[in-house]
Amino acid sequence: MIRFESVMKTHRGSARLAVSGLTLHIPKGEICVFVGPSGCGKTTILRMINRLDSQDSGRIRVDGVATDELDVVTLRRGIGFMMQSSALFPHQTVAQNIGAVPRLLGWGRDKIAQRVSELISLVGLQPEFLDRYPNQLSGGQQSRVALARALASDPPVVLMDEPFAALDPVIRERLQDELVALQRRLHKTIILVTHDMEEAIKIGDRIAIFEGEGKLVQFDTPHNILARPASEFVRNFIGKDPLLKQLSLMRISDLPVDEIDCEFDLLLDEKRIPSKWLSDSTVPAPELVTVSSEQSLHHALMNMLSVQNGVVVRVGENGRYEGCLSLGSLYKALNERRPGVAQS
Amino acid sequence: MIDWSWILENWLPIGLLLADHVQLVTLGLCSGMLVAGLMVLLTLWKPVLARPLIYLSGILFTVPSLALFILIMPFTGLSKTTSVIGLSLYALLIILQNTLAGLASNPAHILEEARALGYTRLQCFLGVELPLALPALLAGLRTTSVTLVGLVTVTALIGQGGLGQLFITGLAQSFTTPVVVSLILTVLLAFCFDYLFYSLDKFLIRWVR
Repeated sequence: MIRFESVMKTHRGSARLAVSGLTLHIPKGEICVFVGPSGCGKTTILRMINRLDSQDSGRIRVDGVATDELDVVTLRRGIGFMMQSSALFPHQTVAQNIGAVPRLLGWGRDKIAQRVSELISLVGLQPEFLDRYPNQLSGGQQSRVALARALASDPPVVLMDEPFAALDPVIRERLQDELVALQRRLHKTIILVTHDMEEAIKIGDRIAIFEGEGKLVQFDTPHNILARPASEFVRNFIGKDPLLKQLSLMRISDLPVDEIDCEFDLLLDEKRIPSKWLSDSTVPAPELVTVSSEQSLHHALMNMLSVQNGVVVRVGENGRYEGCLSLGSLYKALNERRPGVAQS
Repeated sequence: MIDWSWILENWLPIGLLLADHVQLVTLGLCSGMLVAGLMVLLTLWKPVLARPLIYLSGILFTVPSLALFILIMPFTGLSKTTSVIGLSLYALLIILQNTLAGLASNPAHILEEARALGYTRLQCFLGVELPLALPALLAGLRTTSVTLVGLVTVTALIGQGGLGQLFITGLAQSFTTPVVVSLILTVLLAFCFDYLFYSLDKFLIRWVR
């Protein structure tokens, strides 16, 4: 979908290369995260796609078309854009902000209004927000509006420059989850820049790790990067506990349902919803902890550690019993992912 | 101290002078606004001109008003034109400074976002930059109108001046009533202009709290 062909750039008045011969192909319909230390050129690379920055040499193609052959305004209107601290227009209402690009494209009034109301619910806001001004919204709500604005004309490509960096951790995590959920329905090609490896692992289908001077050091899926870091730099950048990070990548539903020998019996109600562990009179039964199969293995692990017998009950979306999980299930899951052991 | 009968006898000439005063302020304000607008467009076309224009208008503003009117007089005589040209120049300086400063203080990341979404230069100016600078622009008009109300009285010295003529009359005849009437009406007029632009600001700008 997006191809960089030996792209070079030097910032004006700087002797150092900003981007040194980048060649990269970003596949269609995936979230590709650019990550690296600050000043590594990742933002410049993102901004070259819609020509907010220009390259000195090399080509960038979006869907086969070289960006410098298109009229710059046409190019930009065809690509969604969301920047850090959600730069909403303060003098426009939420509705006007979301409708900005459709207005530029000359859509009719009714069509814009309909699209705006679709988008506001898509990003999880109530319609009464449409008449408010950005300074009447919280940071998280502003980010949602900025996301709606970026998606307004249904562009195939969306660029996001540290979209969640200014948010507090709780809101940031919720928005990350929602972006991933949204992407499952929309299948956009999203390029997101962040300096936060946790964020990259969480939302990226693929991660591009950059060192200084826009040098691409590894471009792969989060699993492969965690399991096989390409260099010492990547290893350091991933940080501590790559195994824990891998657990947060995997969902409970990725594991096969297996029966675990448990010293207690589980009582289910008539809808097969777990209600409690049955005590065998001598030992008091442990507390019942259920995890939904949509949640991550990291979440499951944290819950296992909190109950006496180390067993959590796995339930489906409707709360019905699916099986049990213990530490053993996690070892098995990680071993299957471990390079070299996978084939055995 | 105040001769009420004089006021009652002369309410019509006083009213006419007041109307004349309002007219001079409005003419100065409008032509100043027009020229300032053209100059702002000029800076859009050649952004390098913005800074010199701000400095130039700052320096011109230090020229004493009376000197300015006397400098223009050889060209246009003791006419209303002289008065309006001088007033417009002052209006131009204040409006231009406020507008250019307002445009310059627009947050860069918001203009960048407009660019990224595909606004053309003109669309960005009309749709984003100008509305964002509107509070500064209106504040400029507010200051200008109040300044002009005072400045008009000075033009009494070149035979114009609206209510300013009452000062001259009062001074020449050592008669305080016209001076007091003129003073009170001028202050009231300044207050009215101030309130007008204040309400305009409240009406037009709903997004700043």
